[in-house]
Amino acid sequence: MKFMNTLASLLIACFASAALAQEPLSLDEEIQAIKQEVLELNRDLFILEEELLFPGSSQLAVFLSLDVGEYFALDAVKLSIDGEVVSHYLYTARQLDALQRGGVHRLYMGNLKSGEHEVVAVFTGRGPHGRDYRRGATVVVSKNSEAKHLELKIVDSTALQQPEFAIAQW
Amino acid sequence: MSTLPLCSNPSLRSPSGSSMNVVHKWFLVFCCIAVLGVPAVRAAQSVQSLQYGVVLFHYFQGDYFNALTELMVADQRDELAVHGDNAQLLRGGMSLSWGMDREAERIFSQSSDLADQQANRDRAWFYLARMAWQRGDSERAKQALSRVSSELPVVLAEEAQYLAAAIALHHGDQVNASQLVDQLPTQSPWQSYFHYNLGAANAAAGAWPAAISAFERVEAQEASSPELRALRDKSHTAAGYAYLAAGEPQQAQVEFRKVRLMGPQTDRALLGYGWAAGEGGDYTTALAPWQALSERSLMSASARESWLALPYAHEQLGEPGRALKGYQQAADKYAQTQALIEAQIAALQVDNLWVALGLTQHDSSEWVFGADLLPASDASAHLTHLIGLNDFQVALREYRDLRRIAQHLETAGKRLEVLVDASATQQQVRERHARSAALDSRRYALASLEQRLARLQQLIATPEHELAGGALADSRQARRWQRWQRIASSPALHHGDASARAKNLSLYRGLMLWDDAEVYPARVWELTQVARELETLIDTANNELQEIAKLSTLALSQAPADVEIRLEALKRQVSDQGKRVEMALVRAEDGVRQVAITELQRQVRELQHAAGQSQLAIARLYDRHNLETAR
Repeated sequence: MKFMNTLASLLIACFASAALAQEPLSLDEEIQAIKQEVLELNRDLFILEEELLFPGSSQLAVFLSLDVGEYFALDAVKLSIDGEVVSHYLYTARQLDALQRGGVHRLYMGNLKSGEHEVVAVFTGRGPHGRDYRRGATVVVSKNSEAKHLELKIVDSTALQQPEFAIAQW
Repeated sequence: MSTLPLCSNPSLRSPSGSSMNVVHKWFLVFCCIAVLGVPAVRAAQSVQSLQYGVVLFHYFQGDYFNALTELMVADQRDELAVHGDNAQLLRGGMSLSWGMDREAERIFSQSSDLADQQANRDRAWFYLARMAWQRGDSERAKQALSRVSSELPVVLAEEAQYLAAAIALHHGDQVNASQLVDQLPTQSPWQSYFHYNLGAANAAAGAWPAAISAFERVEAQEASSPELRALRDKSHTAAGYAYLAAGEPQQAQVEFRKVRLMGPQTDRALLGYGWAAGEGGDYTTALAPWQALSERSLMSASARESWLALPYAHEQLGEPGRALKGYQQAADKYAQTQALIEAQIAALQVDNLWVALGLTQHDSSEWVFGADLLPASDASAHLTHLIGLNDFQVALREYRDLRRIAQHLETAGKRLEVLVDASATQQQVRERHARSAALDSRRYALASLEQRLARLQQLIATPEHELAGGALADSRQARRWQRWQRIASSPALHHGDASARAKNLSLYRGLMLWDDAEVYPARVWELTQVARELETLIDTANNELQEIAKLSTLALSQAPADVEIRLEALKRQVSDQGKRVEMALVRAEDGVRQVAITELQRQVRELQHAAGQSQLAIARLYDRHNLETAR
């Protein structure tokens, strides 16, 4: 029995420095460069996608924002344009958290002809006192040759102790 | 969530526990206020803010890829003017969080706004230093730290001081390292981590008294958190082995006894306690810890070591029978464990290492404060030693990110296909629109068809007795009716025997009406079918025309500039990047695989060595027995 051998192996295990040698940075640099280039590629693809599929002259984008959310816990939003449901979105807890911290969700992007259109959003979730809550908001938008952006806003009204739902046009 | 900042050397890991919780809170401030004090958008004030809000929506979910993409898109379109340099700072912070510290460094270096925000500037450089250290690049870590001023918040400042000391220690400058740490408050948890690391560095150099002295300074610190208590256990264990190496087994026993019985260091302490007792000649005392240890998991290297130590103690106590049995059992166990580990090596040599390591549950892409990636498969059961190592964690994260990037590229390829199709369709629509006269004539033809359908439907709905003769006739019957009409209206009818001709004509009409009545139900059924078919055809044609009209609206809006060139460029990039990622992925996967297999092979060699020692001991005992018998 070589006691010192055992001891040495234990000491190595006990104080061991990394089994991996200090990796050369080339792979790390390569991966970071790939990340940057793939991000740029995705950016260019995103821009071209929007220009081709949703050009400004017909584009309608609908966003959703949430302020505080004390009186309303959002579950889902159903969005209809001219009576046709174009989006029915169910939010995860993580997404709700992101909304409450100031994030804005791009709910829908599509194309509209010039002219007037009715946009209806129906919000479902839990309202004050944890009760099931379902409310709608409607707006008639006049689409011209510029891109149209709508913001569905859920705001707490402290005066009414109720959530308020509004649609803002940009 | 692990709160340990990773470093290239496990013995140089940073403290955590209660102090790290505070550090963590600072990080949340760092993150939640959109990195470096950039305010989050509470209620979007403008379209620009909406875009910025979309970035934050992804960012707050830890989805850095999409957050960075959205930010770069908005930046490209000059939509972030409202947010100024804050957007760039956010980009730097997100780059850092996604493991792109070089890009983050470039952004932070160029951001003029940082010059006016000392606190933010300090945080940026501090986190960059930490990331560089995590990657094992001590020079970059040192440079980044040198840009941190004294304005850094206290908790981060202590960690920064520790980091500077750790870097000095890494370069062998113990004097400078100690001086840096001496500037920390006495009860700072970073003191404990530094002194443990100092002890480890001295132990590695064989400077046992210096190592012991450093380890004992850890004991002097308050251990107010589970992690600090674990560190204290580690120090006692290390001090015990240092005392053993220095030839002071009694002192070693004292240190080993201080280790808690339920903790990650227990096995090593039990083994060391046995050796310390044995070194003092007290193998009876050594038996108890080794016996307890031998019944523990075979994953534990110390437990495996005890299989050999236990019969050795019996041998030393003059119990050759028990020793022989113990050695035989040890040899069997070593062989079994070796077979098990060899099976694990084979399992790691498969194509999909990610699955083989049991890492499928990890979906985070966080680098700065992400939890350690913990392989959870049978094949990784003996890799515990590796999993805690910084380099291995970095390698796993790189491997994870590359896999994710490969998926992003695959998705990009599919999106590109859609764009190519859309572009081709729009081109066709533009061409079709150029032939708008043809489109108009189709519309006219369709309208005419609709009128004919309406007439047919009206005819079908008319009661039989109200129908004119031949109204529903087939082509043959219709020709007869036409002939009859021609004759009935002919002036020749009134020449000669007009009454006989009129009678015949009336007779023919009666016969034809009879025929009409005979086939009426069948004709109504046939014509109803025809009407239905027509209806379907008209609907389809209408939908197609509407679709063409819709596409025309889209296509007639200004076509994106150089769309074909851009599509081609993107296709080329997707293809090139795909190959590049594939190669990098192979390298990253091979790197992880090689490290894992090397570690397992090291264990196999240890087991073979231990098995060999067992066999030698068995032979030695048999030889001794034969000699005694011969006498």
